Amino acid sequence: MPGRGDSRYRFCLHGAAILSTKPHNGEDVFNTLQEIYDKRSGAAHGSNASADEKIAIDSRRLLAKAIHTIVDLIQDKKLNFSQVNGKIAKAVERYVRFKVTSCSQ
Amino acid sequence: MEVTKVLPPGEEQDLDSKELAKLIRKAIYRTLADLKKLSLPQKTCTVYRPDESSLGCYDIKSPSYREDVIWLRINKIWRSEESITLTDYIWKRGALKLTLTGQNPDKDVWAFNTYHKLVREPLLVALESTTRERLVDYGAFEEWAVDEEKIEEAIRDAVNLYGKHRRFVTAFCPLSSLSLLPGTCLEIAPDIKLKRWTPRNLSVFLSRHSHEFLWDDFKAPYCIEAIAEVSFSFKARKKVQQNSVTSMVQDLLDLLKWVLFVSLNQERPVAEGTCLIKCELDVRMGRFRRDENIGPSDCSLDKQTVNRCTELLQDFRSAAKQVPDLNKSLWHFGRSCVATLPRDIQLESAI
Repeated sequence: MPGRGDSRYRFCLHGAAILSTKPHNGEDVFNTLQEIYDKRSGAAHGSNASADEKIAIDSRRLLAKAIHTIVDLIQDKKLNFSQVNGKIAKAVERYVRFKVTSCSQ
Repeated sequence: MEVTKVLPPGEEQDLDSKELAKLIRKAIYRTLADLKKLSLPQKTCTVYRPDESSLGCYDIKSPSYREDVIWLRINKIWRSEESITLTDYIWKRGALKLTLTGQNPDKDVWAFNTYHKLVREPLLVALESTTRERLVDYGAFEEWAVDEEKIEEAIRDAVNLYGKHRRFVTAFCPLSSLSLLPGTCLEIAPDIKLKRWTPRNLSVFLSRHSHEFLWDDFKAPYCIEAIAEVSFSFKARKKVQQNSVTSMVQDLLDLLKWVLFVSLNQERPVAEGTCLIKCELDVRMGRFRRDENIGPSDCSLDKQTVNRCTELLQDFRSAAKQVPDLNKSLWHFGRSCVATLPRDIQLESAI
């Protein structure tokens, strides 16, 4: 997650924005990502040494899917890498911001 | 008093690949003709041979082409007209420079070293390879028999390495869970292929490399159908470290596993076995084993899936060219695939 603050929220929001294939499953993806973030955070800080296998498998599946989606977004020139130093996370943040602002207009 | 010299002197000029190949070929056949009179020592070696249902493993007597007696003979015969023509051609162009230290390092010492690289080693590799294949095919060998095709292959390797200064690396990695028909070769990209070797090809490979795999390795090539063959080349005189070569192979395997994972839509990625890295002239560059997982249940690759893999791979490469940061994500995916504990899978997957 680039920048500071609300990393859990931004992880889930940005993840859901690029991983939800249909508008209505965005919330499910958001919830799964919340669970992944919490488990990951627990594993990293040692509070939850025995991670859940299902969540681990889901994490890997979603990572593979995220790479795939980002490849497609790059190919379709939907991610803007100018002034973000080639960083995907920053470009995704911009992409989400753009989506939100264009929806609200 | 010892002196150090860089030989041959003068500025290095490019070597003409066709001319170099022609001169090496002549020197190799001359050396072979001179060596043929020599009776060969023998050693027992392990040979795999296909039988009706599987592979049989046999201890068979085989000629030993790397014994002292052959070295001594080569020391006597190496200054043939053909070899001198070859080394003169290179010397005049100031190529294949060597830093030599001794009382009097001269052209003769340089020529002897160059002869070993360009003539002796390719010839021995071709002889050993021919012998191995004959032992697999017939269970018997013929002293000094060498297939023309093997000599041409060795010459091509020598020209690539010493004439064009390119090193070609190929890695062989068994992948669990993929069902392929014998003899299948699926080209996912020019540098990434999925193969199922024929029993003969498998026997030839194991006769050379069976010691690289543990007897109880259930992901060794004798247990697993699919072998990933990944290859790349780099400039031979550039200092490339062993771990860089290993990383390059691992990156290609990660990419292959990602395209298979996405295309097959499985819960688990295919698992790697022991990966063997080789380069030209039958040189073993290394080996690694980084995956203790079993992989998903059997999945077969139809034409549609292979095409999908090819497209995904092309798209990834094109995107990664524009955004190199993508390679980091793939690296994490690769790490999550070889992680065994759920905790580690999760730590690698969600950064």
